[in-house]
Amino acid sequence: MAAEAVRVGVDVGGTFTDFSCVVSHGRLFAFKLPSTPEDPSQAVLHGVDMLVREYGVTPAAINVFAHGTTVATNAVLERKGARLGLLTTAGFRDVLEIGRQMRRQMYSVRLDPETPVFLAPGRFRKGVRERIGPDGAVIEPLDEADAVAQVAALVEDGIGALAVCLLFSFANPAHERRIAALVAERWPTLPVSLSSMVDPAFREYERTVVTAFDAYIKPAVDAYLARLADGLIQVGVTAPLQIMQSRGGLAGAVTARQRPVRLFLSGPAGGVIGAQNEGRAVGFDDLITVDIGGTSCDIALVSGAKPLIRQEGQIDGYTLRVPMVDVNAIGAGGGSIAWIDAAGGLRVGPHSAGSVPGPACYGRGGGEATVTDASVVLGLIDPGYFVGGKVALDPGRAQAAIRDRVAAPLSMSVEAAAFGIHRVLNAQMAEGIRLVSIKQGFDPRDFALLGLGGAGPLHVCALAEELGMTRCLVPRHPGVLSASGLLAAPVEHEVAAAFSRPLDGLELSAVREALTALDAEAAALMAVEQVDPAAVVIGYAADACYVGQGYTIEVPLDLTQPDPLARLYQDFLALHDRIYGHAVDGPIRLVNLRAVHRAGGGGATGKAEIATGSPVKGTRSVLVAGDGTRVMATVYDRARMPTGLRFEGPAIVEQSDTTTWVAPGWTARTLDTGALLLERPVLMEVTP
Amino acid sequence: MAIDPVTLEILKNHCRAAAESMAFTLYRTAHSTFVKETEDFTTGLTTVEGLTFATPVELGATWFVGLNYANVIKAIEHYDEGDIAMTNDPYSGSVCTHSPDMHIWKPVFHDGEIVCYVVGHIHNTDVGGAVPASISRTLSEVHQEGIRIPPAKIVRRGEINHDVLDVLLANVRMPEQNWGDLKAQIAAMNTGERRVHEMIEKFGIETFRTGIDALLDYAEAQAREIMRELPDGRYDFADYLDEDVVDGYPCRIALSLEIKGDGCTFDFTGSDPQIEGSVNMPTGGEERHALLMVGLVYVLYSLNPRLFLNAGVCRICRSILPEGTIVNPQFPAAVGLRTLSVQRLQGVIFGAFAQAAPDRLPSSPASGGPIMNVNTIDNRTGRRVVASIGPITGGAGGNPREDGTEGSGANASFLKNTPVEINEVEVPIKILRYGLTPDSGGPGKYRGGMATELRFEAQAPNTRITARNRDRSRFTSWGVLGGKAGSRSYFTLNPGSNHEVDLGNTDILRVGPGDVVHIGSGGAGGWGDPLERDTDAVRVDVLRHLVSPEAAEHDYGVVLANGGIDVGATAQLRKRLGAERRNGGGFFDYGEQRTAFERLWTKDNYGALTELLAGLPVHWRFFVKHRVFEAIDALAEDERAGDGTEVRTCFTRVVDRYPQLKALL
Repeated sequence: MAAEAVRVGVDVGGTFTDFSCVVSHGRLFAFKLPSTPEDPSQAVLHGVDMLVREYGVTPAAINVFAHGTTVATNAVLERKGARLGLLTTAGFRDVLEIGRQMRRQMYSVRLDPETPVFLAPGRFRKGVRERIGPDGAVIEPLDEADAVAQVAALVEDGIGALAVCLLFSFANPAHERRIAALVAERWPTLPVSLSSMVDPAFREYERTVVTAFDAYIKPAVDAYLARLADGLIQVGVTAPLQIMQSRGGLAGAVTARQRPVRLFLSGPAGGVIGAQNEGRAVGFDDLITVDIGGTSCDIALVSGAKPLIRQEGQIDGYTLRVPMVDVNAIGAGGGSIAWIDAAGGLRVGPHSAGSVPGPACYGRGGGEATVTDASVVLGLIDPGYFVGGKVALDPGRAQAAIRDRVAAPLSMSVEAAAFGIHRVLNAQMAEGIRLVSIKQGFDPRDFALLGLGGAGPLHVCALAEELGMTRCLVPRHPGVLSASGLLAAPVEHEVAAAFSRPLDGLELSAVREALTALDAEAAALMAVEQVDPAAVVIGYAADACYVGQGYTIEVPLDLTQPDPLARLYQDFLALHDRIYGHAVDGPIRLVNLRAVHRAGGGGATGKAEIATGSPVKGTRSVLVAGDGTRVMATVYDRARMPTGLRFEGPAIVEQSDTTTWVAPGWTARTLDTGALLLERPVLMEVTP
Repeated sequence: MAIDPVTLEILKNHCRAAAESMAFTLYRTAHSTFVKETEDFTTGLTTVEGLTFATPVELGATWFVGLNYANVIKAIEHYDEGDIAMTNDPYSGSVCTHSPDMHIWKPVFHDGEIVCYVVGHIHNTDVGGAVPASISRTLSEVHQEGIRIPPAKIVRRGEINHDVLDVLLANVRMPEQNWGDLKAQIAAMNTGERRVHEMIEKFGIETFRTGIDALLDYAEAQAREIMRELPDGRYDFADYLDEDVVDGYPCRIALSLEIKGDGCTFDFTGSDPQIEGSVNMPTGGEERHALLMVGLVYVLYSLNPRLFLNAGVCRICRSILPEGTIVNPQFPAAVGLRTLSVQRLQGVIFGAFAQAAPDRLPSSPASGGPIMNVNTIDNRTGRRVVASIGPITGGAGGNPREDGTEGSGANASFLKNTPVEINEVEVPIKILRYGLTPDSGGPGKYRGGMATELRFEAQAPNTRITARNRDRSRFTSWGVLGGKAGSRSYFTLNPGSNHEVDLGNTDILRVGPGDVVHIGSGGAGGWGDPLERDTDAVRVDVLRHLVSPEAAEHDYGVVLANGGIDVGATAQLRKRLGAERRNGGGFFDYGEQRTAFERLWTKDNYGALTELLAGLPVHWRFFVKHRVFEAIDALAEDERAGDGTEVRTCFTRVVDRYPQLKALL
């Protein structure tokens, strides 16, 4: 096997580190190891060791090593970032603390701070005398002595990283750059993040937050990636270490370490790319993914075989203006607790029983009725084959919890209550999916639904029915999709800059000039990646809005068109119409320009072997209506299902990491890729 | 037909999502800075009768949960499919509450019949009238506050009604902004209509009809459950605006809250007569008017954040609103600045409920920070710019568990601020500082949040600044259970120069190039005894530049030395301060100025004044109030008893002075 090139994708999650390895002839190994939170690189290196010892892989034969990491996110969640100093224009050091007056609970008189003050409390924020005007002109020169004195005071106070965010630095970065140079001369090892480089765009609070997060996590990310890269070299892996960025593109570790703020959604981005690839392999370019775990449900969209990117994401509840795959979490999952509110309404979540004590049926002392308990009562989950039989469930406890907590207070049967819990949860998730897609102007009926996570495949049929969708897809390994996505992702670098000019009277040459500068930056980043320059595909886009409007839409900018700006205008109108339902012929402004350089991606993800033996395990009675109606479902073993196997719902497909429910009216089929396709006929919409 | 709890829960989610997608459409499509940066707008769904049954919880203004569109809906005789109506007249149907708020509603039809309405409003930056931005405390008649459109169709069967639109746009200062925002509103209505049609398709018309009524009942049941947890009783509270009119006397809003079982009554008797200024609240005398319910909704939601918000919540309360008072003014009293009085009224409701649930509710949030408007000429283009540069908010009150948030969380702060970088591009001013004011949060075991301040330099001659809703330059945010009042607000011209001017409680100012304007909100009140505050929390506050070392000593009794706490000196100081303060303090701390004012204007004196003014014709009351205040001010110390007698004496003197009045009695 030594001659065969091997591509390795490793996604580190909180509980498991997932490996997806494809050998050049197309064979796939996928496995999970327990994560090592103290030093996540240990599990990664342990996995490489397993590849060598158990799968006969030669480290030197590994030619791709792509990695999704939570180290950036964990540094924030565990508050293990650097002690950070923040330099601002004098008079504006409280911008980080005041924020934009956003709040999650608008009607509450008791509020939690909505701004990430923890990054740099007042003591660690200093103002510097300087001023740049809105047009980039220097109104007041940088007081260099003042800047040095302020940094010296911060260093004295023990800072481990510095963020610099001056007003209008995106229009003229000279002062920020000069500060960086002054700091480099005096404190060469102090990591510095400049807002004009991290996020050169309008709105000082938003820019400050991105820059501060970047600097805050830089030492932690840097140390981790350095340790991992060293470890890989020591075990003989010579392939460059590549890191998944939040946008869904890989970057060499060297570059990723310089701009760590782009790594927050490293893991989920792998999942979305994996989904995109999974769909593409079977000809579905429009997908909605729903990843249902114990406490939450993540929703993402793939449109036209491209993951949807949003320009603003969230980390630990804080809004962060960094491009990210558009993954939306809602607080509903298998462990979500069902309860009756004071007004007699049935509610599900957002509280979750978690894994300890867990749902009542776990028998670990949990007495609350959860979604999983309802699944057991309904017959969807085999109490003897949960997590492949590793966790024995107690159906009696599930029954009792639902009876005591839901059925009795509402004077319902246990069956009706269990069914009601599923209905409420499915409606919530469907509403989440609807909001995500409608906010982007998409009709979910045009999409296929991809079920992921331990509970996703259990709910896909119900969600699809709720949303009027007719196709669902369940990948062969719905639990390691992030890792396989790493192998399907391109190497990508994105560079953007504020432009802020009206389209009216704009010369194409001015746009070209700006893009040339962005290209130079992006090309420099790609040059480090060891990719064939001929393979690089360049794309441009502009963030545009109507003159006077506050929010922008990203519009592709295609310079090969005869009149690129006219085309951009037409595309803007079409996108505005799609997203907001209307578009008027009015003047627009290009707020930012963006260049994206991309190479590779989309490679095959390989295929697991099919076990021999009959795929049918038996039958089980499943409750399908609140009135107690039951159907007899055939139970299948996923590992033994041959390609092309076709069957009708009601059916249950079991595998160690998930259970798929094929509802009555649905047809299932195993595809070449190993994925399971569920379909139902397009029904005429009946209005009562 | 009854609706089962499972279906109701699902319908509820759908309705809220519908209101939210309307808000989202509006927010993302609106044109004016005011809407897009400050989110002063609403969207919602109402029953056929006009009661709001669903609103967004994450976007927009928070004052209109209980809004009842009934009167304006009825004002239009006939609706066709595709019609959209609007009004911004505070005296047509008590929906619009000041002229900049353009309310809009669209009937949703099913099989030719109206099944509900989609509704909403946007605060327009300007609707014409005597002053830019249409609002000023100097105005006294609604006619001065801009054009008023009584309920009229702006869209007829899907076509814009240019007869109405053109009149509106001809009367405002920046028609393209009003038109841009109106288009966003229309887009939001269409989104809402589509969502309602989808719901009807999904649930069926009967379930939908029954369901929306059930949602009102559901919210009401939740609200009653919360009320049952509060002890029955009568809780009185009053607070003041610094001035009723420019250079006037304090304006009092008084409430007697009665909690009984699962409901409550708000009796506003004792509140001032209607003002010959613009802080009147146009409730039309409706006992559950949305403006009166703002504080109630906040209190209930804070006590149980799972409360579903709609007009059903307000059914648990009724109000007593004496006619011709600030809470129930007669036409054509000006109402433009009702934002200020509603904020204070909201705080009054917090104060009343704080006594019923002191361990569950915070002290007073900051207020008195204005919404700043600038009217100037852009030197670069020669064009006039009229723009809001955003609100100056201040922090939240200290609460039983933690400090109030800094610079954010004040009464009015559903309003978002505007970034400096947006302001400087759109408005030709140079902003010098935007930050927190040290030592402004009321000391407490849990401290009040800090005030926010803004400093900027004008660039052109004849630049006019409006600091709308300025207040609390005299009477401060209150603290509870030993917590202290927050700091006063301020407005200063050219601070630190030899031509510095303290602008007191003014809200308008004319400046020239190079003039520096400095403005700050008040601070929030503290909760609990500051001497019980964790000493290390005080040390950290000092390091964070929020509390000065001097204040750490005299407010908190914490002595710092070499960056650490001097434990011995602190213990001694706290002991001494504790002994000194033992005799002070009831439930509330109101700050020095109010305490001094209430030594003159006791509860009994106000009781007498209320009774006497109520006996006068409405148009005399404000005048007589001022004359009585003058007379009381002129009394010698020994002529004051504080038991109401001096008010009666002064009143008699005033009546004697005006035969015209005497003839009416």
